[in-house]
Amino acid sequence: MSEFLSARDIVKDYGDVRRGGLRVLHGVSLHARQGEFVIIVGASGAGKSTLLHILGLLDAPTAGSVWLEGRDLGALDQRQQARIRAREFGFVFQFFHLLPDFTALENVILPAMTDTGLISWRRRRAEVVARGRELLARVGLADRLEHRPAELSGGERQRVAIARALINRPRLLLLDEPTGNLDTRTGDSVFELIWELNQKEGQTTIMVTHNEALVRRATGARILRIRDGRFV
Amino acid sequence: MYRLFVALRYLRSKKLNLIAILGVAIGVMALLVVLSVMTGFDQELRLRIRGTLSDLIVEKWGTEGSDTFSGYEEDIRKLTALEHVRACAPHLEGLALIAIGKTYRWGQFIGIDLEAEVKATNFAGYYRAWRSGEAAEACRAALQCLAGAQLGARERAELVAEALHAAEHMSAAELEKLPKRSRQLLLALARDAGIDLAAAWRRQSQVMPRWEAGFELKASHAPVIVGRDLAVLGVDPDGHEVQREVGEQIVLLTLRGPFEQHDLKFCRIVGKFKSGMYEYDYRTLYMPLEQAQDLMRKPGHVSSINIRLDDYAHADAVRRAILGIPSSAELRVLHGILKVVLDRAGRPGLCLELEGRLEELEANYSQWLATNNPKLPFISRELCAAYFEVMDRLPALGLEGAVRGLEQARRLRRVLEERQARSLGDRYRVSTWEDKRRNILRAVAVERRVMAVILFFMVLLAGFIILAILYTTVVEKTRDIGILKSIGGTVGGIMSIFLLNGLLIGLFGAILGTIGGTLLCKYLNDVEDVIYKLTRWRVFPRDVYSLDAIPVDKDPFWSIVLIALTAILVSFLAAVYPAYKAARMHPVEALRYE
Repeated sequence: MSEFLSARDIVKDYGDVRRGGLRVLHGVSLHARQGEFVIIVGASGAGKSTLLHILGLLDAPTAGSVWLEGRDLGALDQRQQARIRAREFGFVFQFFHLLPDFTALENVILPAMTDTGLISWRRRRAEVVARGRELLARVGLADRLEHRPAELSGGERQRVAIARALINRPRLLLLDEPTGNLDTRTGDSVFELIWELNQKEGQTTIMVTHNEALVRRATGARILRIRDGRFV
Repeated sequence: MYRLFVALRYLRSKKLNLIAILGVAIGVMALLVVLSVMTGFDQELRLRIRGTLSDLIVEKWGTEGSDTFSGYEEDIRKLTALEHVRACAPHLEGLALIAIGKTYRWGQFIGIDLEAEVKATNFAGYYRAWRSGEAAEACRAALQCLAGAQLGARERAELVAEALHAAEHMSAAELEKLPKRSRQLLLALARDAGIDLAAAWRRQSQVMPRWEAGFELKASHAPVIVGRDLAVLGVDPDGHEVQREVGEQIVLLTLRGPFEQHDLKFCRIVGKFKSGMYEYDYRTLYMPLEQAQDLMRKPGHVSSINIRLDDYAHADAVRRAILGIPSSAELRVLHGILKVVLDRAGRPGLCLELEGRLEELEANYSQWLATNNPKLPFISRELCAAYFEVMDRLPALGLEGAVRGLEQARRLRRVLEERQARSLGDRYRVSTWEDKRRNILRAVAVERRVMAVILFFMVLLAGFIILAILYTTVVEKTRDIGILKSIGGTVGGIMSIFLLNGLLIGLFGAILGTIGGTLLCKYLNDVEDVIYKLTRWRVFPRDVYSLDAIPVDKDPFWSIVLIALTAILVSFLAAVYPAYKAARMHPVEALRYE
């Protein structure tokens, strides 16, 4: 299968290394095919989250490049990068990162609003809201549409975050310790959901975790281990 | 799309934003009320500052005392023939020591031709203002007695008759100013008695001042119409004013020539006037022109001619006509045409000199006109003479055909020569009433400007408060900003969320403030009454400026627009820095922020 996403020789420094700065990533390369489920495992501080941020264009590498279907993403300007983040990528974070002032449904449909103008929004609104409801139903929250994040449990919040990540039908799902802040049982069910989505929808999924138990359960996923900024 | 959505939600979910909106609203409201009262006050004040002055005042050049002139009938005929002049009235003004009761005070007497005076100045209006003011006072007192104590039938009937009689001499505006209960009582009484108050008031508006007052006058006595406050002698122990009434005597003492000589003039009050400006009402009295000439031993003399125009906007044009001088634009036209000739005739020296003089004149024209600087007629006449001389010599120089627009110059020359012929010449100086009150008007203008600066700082302060509030919002929403960026928010998008936030605060604040301010302006006097009733403290004592109510701007549309737009603009500008700060935030650091 063709190469979908690749990161080549990614180096990331915090501060100037010669003056006592910290090198977090020492030239890592990663290639993912369409529909692949990649798990990056490593202890905290190994640089896995930083790598994920760089892959998701939230952070820029000190050296190296990220390519999506043969396009060098680092060469794009800020607006184009934002467009790709909105359309092609879906993010799920360890701390859920929902907007506290918005209901579950509103949180889910916000990414669909970001690249829609006021006029086209009137046209798309019904369709987007319907999809938001459907997604929330699919993650088992059909009866929580109008709840604020503060009124939801951790597992429910993470499900909302997953629904939000999926609203724009992204081709790449980036998950940063999605179960890290949940108890084992809820974490398992969230992982179950992510796994199932990957199997059914076929979007490329890259997940970062330090949880070995999840790694054991993901049969068929590609496992990459990272230690001190290098794959081992 | 999400920008407006998010901005609106932030606005709603944060209490502090509500406070910011209220802050803007209060600021806008305060500005509106202050500006409205200031403008209203200004309009009232201008009327008062103007007092008894007419649109234009023509006087003779001369030092104090030697500046009266005779032959004014001829001048008035000339003036009346000028365009835009509606009416002229002669004045003879003099100073006198006024003995009234047992008090003495310095004051001014003005000899007038009553018939002309009524046409040229607002004298009749001030005369009526006094009459209706006195009547309103009497009516109010009678109504209060009626409403208050237990009364016998006869007493009651007397008071009713008194109230109704007084009411007929009031004006409609004064009825409005009566307390509500008194007003209703009065209207009911008038209905019962079958009196048509509206018709009576219409008759009142036709009343003219007269020198007769229904009593015999000795030949040696002069009838005078005195300022309302001039007739006030003092206050009795009950707090009522003691004043000289119509029919009573006052004596004028004037000095003549060397100081050892003086004249006495016995006068009787035939009427009073009230201009609303204490200084006039306290020190001025009017008498027939001949009596004043007699008293000053200047038969046939006047000290000024007062002109009413059909429109004050023509004041400068009429002044030029009276002085017989061209406008600077007319001079420029002549100069432009003749410059060509002067250059060709080989006299650039003269041309340069004329140009220099013209430039000096143009630079100072309006100031010289306002201050009656004699340089103005002098230089303009000199320039005209030079231009006309060149025009006369054109045929001899053989240059007649070479100048374009010569026909226009000739027409202009005829106009100017005719203007010169019809003018009063340079024995006179002409002032508008604004020139006469230049100092006090300038003081008012400076006051306004200072106030505007202070108010501007107030707006600036509001802007900084909004800035602080928006900045805390940005800090508080740091994580949200990271999230928005991760779901595809651009730098411009994040920026516009917070700009919109500021704009919306300004918009809602301006709307609220405009509504509140307009309402407050409308009910300002009622609000002040309520405060007075609750605290027994007058925010705006009526007697200081002898105004019946706090004046407000009658046409506040443009000031509302200006204030609302300024408030919105300031809120928007205050949002720029926080929005910039938000947009520049690094997404990963923003997400890590707890």
